Amino acid sequence: MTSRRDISLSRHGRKARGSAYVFIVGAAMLLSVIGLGIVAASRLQVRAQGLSRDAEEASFTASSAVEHGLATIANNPGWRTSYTHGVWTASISLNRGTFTWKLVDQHDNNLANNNSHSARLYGKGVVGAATRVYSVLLEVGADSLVHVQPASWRTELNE
Amino acid sequence: MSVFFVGVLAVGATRLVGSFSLATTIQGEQARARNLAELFLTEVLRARYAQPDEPDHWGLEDGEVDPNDPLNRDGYNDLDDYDGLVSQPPCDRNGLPLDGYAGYGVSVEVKYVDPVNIDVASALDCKLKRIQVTVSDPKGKTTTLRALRSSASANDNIPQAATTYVTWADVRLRLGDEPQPRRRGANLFNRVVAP
Repeated sequence: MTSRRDISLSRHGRKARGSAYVFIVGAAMLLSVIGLGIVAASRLQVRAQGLSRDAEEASFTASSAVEHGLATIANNPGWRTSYTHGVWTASISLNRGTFTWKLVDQHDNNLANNNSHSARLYGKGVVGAATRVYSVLLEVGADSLVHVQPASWRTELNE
Repeated sequence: MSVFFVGVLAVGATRLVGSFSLATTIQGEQARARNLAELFLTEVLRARYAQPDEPDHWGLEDGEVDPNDPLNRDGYNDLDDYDGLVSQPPCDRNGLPLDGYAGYGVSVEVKYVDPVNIDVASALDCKLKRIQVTVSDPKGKTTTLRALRSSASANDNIPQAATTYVTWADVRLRLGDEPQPRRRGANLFNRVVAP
């Protein structure tokens, strides 16, 4: 036979156990939320740093593309017929990405028909998710050589 | 049972925080290494392709290094002056140690390359040089950054009259309560006449 006192103790024990479970579940949920928050923050930070690193390297890679184009043209007197207006060259690997460049005749879209026409050299660097494009204006000097027009270097946003 | 459950969670959370802290430290060191590589690479890129009066000479010309101040790079004026440079601890252009970079090291390599294959050094001057900056962090991890420079670069246009240009900026940024400023370099692609 169960006494009134036993029933009271049994109810009290169940109540205490219930409180402990609520506490444990609450603590577990709190720790889980904190943990997931830390993981999410860490992932975001890693991603942001990765994007920043990609953008910085893409900048060096794009400027190198322009320099590569300048050297190639300087080594090739027949560059006006070797390259086609507006066509990117094959990609070359540098750093963790690639670069390419193209020539654009700003007068009549034809590099080959007039040796005095200036041309704009575009250099593109791609590293990860980042792309950078720079350009310079090339003009033919009195010495018949191609020179970079002063103050013509610019960042292209729509290439 | 419940004590065990809470204990496992607590240990897991502690380890998570620990690994997060370690990852943050490593990322910080890598970010500093990249900043350092960029600082040196931009400093090299501001120089001329070759010494105007001795274009075939490789390396430092006479008088470009002060024997009393050998870490000072103020006299370095063309790309190949930097070939073989080792800066450990890293010093700025004036030869002063860079704050916050104890344990880091920087080395620079400059080579002629053929535009047809930029991965292989060339014995001939094909009007293109490859600059490689390698930074080692305190844990020995290396960060490498490369760039190309042509002899036909805008930096190598000879002005009609003697002019002093600004071609490079040494940037110092202090973020939040960081004890040391972060150093960055920036090349000015279009020449700016010095005031």
